[in-house]
This record gives sequence, C-alpha cells and structure tokens, in this order.
Amino acid sequence: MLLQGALSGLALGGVYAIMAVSLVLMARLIRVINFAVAAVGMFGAYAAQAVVQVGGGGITALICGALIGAVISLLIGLIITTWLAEADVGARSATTVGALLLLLSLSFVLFGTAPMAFRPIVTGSAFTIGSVVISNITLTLLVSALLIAAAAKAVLTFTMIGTQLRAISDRPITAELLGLNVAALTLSVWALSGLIVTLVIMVVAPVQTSDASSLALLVIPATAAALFAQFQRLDLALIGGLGLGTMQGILAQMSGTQVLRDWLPLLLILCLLLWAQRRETWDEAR
Amino acid sequence: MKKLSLITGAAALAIAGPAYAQSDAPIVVGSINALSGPVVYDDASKAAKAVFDAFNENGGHNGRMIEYLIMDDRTDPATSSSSARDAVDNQGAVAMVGSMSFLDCAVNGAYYIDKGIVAIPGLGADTFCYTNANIAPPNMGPYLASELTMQIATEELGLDKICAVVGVGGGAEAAYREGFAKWTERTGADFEWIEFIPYSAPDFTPYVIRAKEAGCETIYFNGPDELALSMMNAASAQDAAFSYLLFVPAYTEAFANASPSGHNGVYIVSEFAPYTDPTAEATADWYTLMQEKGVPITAFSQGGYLSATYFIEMLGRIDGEITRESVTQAFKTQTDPIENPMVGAPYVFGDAEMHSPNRAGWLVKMAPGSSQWESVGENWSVLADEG
Repeated sequence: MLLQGALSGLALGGVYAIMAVSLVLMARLIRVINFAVAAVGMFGAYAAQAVVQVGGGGITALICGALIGAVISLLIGLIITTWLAEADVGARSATTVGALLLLLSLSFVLFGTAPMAFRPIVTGSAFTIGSVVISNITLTLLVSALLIAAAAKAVLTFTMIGTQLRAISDRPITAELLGLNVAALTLSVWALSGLIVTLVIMVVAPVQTSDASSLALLVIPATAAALFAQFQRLDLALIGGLGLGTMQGILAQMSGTQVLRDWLPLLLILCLLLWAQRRETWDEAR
Repeated sequence: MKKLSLITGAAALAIAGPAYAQSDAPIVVGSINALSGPVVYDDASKAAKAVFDAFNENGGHNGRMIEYLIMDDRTDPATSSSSARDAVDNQGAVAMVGSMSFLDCAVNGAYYIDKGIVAIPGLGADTFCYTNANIAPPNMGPYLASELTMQIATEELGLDKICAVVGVGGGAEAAYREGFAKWTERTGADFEWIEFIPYSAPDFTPYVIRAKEAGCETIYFNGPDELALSMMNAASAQDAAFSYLLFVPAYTEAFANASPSGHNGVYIVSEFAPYTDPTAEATADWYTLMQEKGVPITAFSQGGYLSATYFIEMLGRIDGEITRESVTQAFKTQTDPIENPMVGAPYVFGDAEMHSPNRAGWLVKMAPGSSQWESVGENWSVLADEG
C-alpha cells in the first residue's frame, strides 16, 4: 500500500518539483521568490482552454496558452526589473504576491469562477509497477522534472550564459559594468519559467481539482519543496517536490488522514522555518 | 407622544403599503440568488421569471401583475440577509419563489418564520431548506438525492463494491452520513470505503488507485461536473474502468461530450423528469417556455419553473385579496396536492414543521463508451419510507 500510495503521488510530486526548481532558480539568479509561479501557469492554461472553447485546435491552444503564460511572467519580471532593481528580496517577492492576487481576480472576471473542464493533453498509461499503472501524465511530469533540474544545473555550471547569470546574481552592478545585458538575461529567465509552468499545469489540470484558486495555490507545496532546498540546491528542490507528492499520495490511501494530507505542505514550511532558525539566539533572530 | 404615534403610523403604512395595496397593484414576489461571487447559479430565477412573464402576458391574477424581484446575495451572509429584508420589509414581497442560493435558507430561514412568509426556492441546496416550517423546495436536495442514488444503485442496478468520494463543505458531512446510514440500515449494503474531502483537494489519482486496489467497481462522487470529469480522467489515465454514480450538476450535454470513454456506465438520479429528450411529454411545457424566453435548459431551470408554477397554482386557490398573510395561509393549509409531470411526487406544503415533498427521482445513464444521456426505465424511483 505504501508503494502504491507513493507512486500515485508522483505526478503531483513532479509538478511540485518543477515549480520548486523554478522557484530556486529565480531566488538564486534574480533575487525573488516568485509566489505567482503557479498563478501564471493557471492563467495560461485557462487561456488555452478559452481558445479551445472559441473553436481553436488543440495545438493552437497549447501554443497560445504557453505564450500567454510566458508573456505574463515576462511582464511581472519587467515590473520588478524596472522599478525594483535595487530593492531587497522581500519587496521584490511581495510584488509577486500582488501578481498572484491580480491573476486570480482577472481569471474570475474573464473565465468565471467555476472549475474549468480541461481536455486531457496527455492520455493513457505507460507501464505498470505492481498493481499501479504509471500513467503517461506521471511519466511526462517525472521525466520533465528530472530533465529541467538537470538542464538548469548544466546550464549554470557549464555554459557561458550560466556563468553570466551567476555573475548577475552575485554582483549585479559589476556584471552590468562589464557589459552584460542584465535585463535581457533576467527577463528570459522569467519568460522561460512562465512557459514551462504553464505547460506543466496544462498537463496535470485535467486530472485534478481545476478551479483557479486550487491551481494557483499549488505554489504552497512548491514553496515547501524550495524551502527544503533552502532556495539554493536544485537537487534538493527536486527531491523535496517528489517527496512531498509521494507523502501526500501515501496519506490519501488511508482513511481519516485527509486533514493531514492537505496541511502537510504548511506543516513542512513551518518545521523548515523553525529548523532554519535553530542556531539563532532569540535576540538576533528578531 | 403624538409625534411618536404619527411616526409609528407612517411607518406602519410604509411597511404595509405594498403588501396591502389596492387590488390593481402588482403582487410582489422575491427571490435570493447566487448571481455573483464564488459560485453563480442564475438559471432558477430566470426560469421563474419566464413563468411569471408568461402569466402576466395572459392577464395576471384577476388583472394584478406579478412583480418579480431577483436579488443577488453574492454567497455572502450579510448580503443574503439584507437582500431578504429589502424584499420582504421594503418591497412588500408576499412570498419568496425560485431562489437558488447556498445561504438563503440558513441565513434567512428564521426571519421568514418571524415574518410569516413562505419560501418555495427553485432548488434547496442545504439541510436548512428542508428543516424549516416555512420553506419547501420542489427538489429533494443533495442528501435525500444521494440516499436515493444509493438505494437505486443497490436495488435496481445491483451495483456492488462501491467506493465513495464525498466532497463536503460546512456541516454537510453529518447530513451525508445520516442519509448513507439509512441506506445501509435498509439494504444491508455499505461502501468499501468512504472518504470525505474538501472540494479543494488537489489530486484525484490517489483515490482512483485506492478504489482500484480495494476492488471497487463503482465510484460514487458528488462533486460538480468539472471535478467529476477530473476524477474520470484520472481513472482513465490509470487504465481503470469504473461505473460512476454522479450528481445532478453533471447531467448536462457538455459533461457527456467531454467525458472520457473508458467507463462502465455513468448513472445520475435526476430529481426532475429527464430533459435531454426534447420530445418527452413530461417536460414539453417547460421546454417550450424556456426556449421561447431564452432560458438555459438545465435541472436548475426546471426547479425555478416548478416553484413559480406551484406559486401561481396556489394564487388561483386563494379567495379574496392576495396578501402575504393569505398566501402563507393558503400554503400552510394546503391539503390538495399539486401534480406536475416533471416530478415524481405531488407538491404539498401544509403545516408540517419541516418539508421535503419531493422524494422521487428518475434514473438517467450514459452507457459504456457512449457520450449521450439516456433515460432508464419508464418509472420514477421513490425513496423508501423511513423506519
């Protein structure tokens, strides 16, 4: 039953992991905790569904949705880069909370408040482990999570762009003085994050609660996973996301653990924050 | 003292004014609806308005027109309360008809008793709509409907090995449990497992796998149509084919078209006569009127239509002036039931402490592989009597 539960949570774990990797990357490279990461994806996915409803084809809708996600993310990035370039992480991150709320309201206005009936993009099963079928959705998300984390690591470590991005994050002014196009590099991270997360949400939305709030609040478990990685390590973000998803999957197999299942990400956030403070003396921590 | 009595007199006139006005003044009827906010259900009041408009076009009640108030409560308790007070106190409503709100019964139930006004909601959405001496909806509501669904599943469909995922909010869990307990007591059947989840629970895959693992052949799920689709998609992705017992909101053409084909049959107990067949005799009058007035063809508009039709029928039974008192008196002393082919049980209000006049449903199904609703059988299924 444990294995079965764990496998059943892998799809959602993959979603958490991809978002957590995105959160860690943005925290490291552009000094922001992007609380709107899932809301951007939700909005893009809803926009794609709207394209389907007005008669657009599946591929057209997919591309439109992903582009809309990328553009919205880019706009949030543009606001932060333009007006909050020198601001601290707190202020920059608070802007994304504003964006999260704005996107939720905008989605209510444009697409209504009812959950959206999404057409599945990925269907069918891939293979079976024991009695559990690993669906193509799970496989897609799992492989994507691994690839995205590995690609991000490789780009940061081995490529010129990676070096430049790290330079921007460590010494933004020096990097700019050296002639790096800081704005372009930063904005491309924003756009890419919006694009990827929108695609991920479009894959997972058809099999889960698909109202705007539930989708936008996927950022909570993703933040828990990113916190587990201390907003630093991509591998831990991956493990954290997958771990949280499998834990929730296991809890759903047992009666009476529903509350724990839903509160798990918040409990985890609380514990991790307390753990991070463990060496602080009371006075300094304040 | 004189000034005070003048004010009281003026206030009394102002309050009494609309309700006791001359016989050619309109008969004011109110309704409280979720027209904006987190959920929007406006079909019931639209349907009731269509009925009243048609009634007015035919001359109204002895020349008196019905003025129908459609008020929004935004699913907000304070707004719900102030809207009801506005309708009753300020505008002099003689009855509340065709409402579709998740709060009206809970928030305004005691106020309606206090004011001596009856409410015939388009649809009752919670237990408060069925435990109030002054409220009687035409539908049977989620708890009786789920009890009847299980009764039909066991006794008529012979379904076995049923797992239940029940989305709940507020105090709904106790009411569902009570209904299911009665079903178990009567039939000896029970769920393989039952899980109560908040509607915001993220992912259906674990429940689908759990159902498969427990050997369940049927899944009961009471969520709205979009979430029922997510559940079916999750099962489909797991190569798992179940039968499904779903809830009335999923009984739509849109749901049928969007649902994945890998299932062993989807069953819904409709609280009103099945409407997906436009040629059906039972729904013909309603269907024609809704088409004519541009109201959506849904179970909600059936409810609104029925409540307005019942109200008009009762108006015709009142001798003398139409006032709040005479309307309430007529409903409270009603013994002669109102028949309508769209429901399986005649409508009686009467003087009981609580009402649930409708205890019958009609089974509709989507056959395996099909994406069309069809009516099952030729008869209403009636909820077995308690005890």
